Amino acid sequence: MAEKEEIELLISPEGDIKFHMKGIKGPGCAKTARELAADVGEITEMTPTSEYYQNSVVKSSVQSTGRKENP
Amino acid sequence: MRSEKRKDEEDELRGVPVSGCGGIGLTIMSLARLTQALEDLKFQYRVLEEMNQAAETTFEMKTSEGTVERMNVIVRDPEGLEIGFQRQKNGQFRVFTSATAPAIRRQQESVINRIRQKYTYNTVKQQLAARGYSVVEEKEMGDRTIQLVARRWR
Repeated sequence: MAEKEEIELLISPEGDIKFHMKGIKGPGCAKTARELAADVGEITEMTPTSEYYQNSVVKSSVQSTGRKENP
Repeated sequence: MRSEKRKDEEDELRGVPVSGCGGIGLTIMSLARLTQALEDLKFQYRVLEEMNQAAETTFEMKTSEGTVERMNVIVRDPEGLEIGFQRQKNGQFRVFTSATAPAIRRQQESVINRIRQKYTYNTVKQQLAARGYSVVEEKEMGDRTIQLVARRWR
């Protein structure tokens, strides 16, 4: 099933960008940000959001549980 | 310490849907995109041709700092004053104003910001389209910030 990837961009009156990405898999934000920045300038900040950590924690938790059940 | 690339590879292997936010600071590098922004804004401008660089003197501009600099692009702002873009050794364009009075200089800086924003807007929209994103929302906010929401399905 197709998954939605979304980027919200705010272009300031000075031409700088703030971005917020949601639902991007794998290399995700860092790769997409590098691609976006390639012709625009330089990445000045890059922070995974809470959603990033929530998804990572869920994945880790499942893996941990699996190890306990199948040592 | 893991490299950024290594971390990306690990994320890819996990297939974790991720999110993040950040910022990109504009650097004007492309003459084509710069002139496109000037066209879109309907500013008068002239570009120093590569072949004429040695002999050309009409591209010299007296800057706000009082120095005379050779420019690669000279824009005439709505007040009839000049703004210069000079290519640096690292490929970036450095911008010079020509006004000396602070009030006029602020007006020129406002014009420069309009050029910078248009440059970013055009570039980002091209980048998004090239990567299969569709812009589903676009609006200009009260402070002239442009908001774009782009989406794709994978």
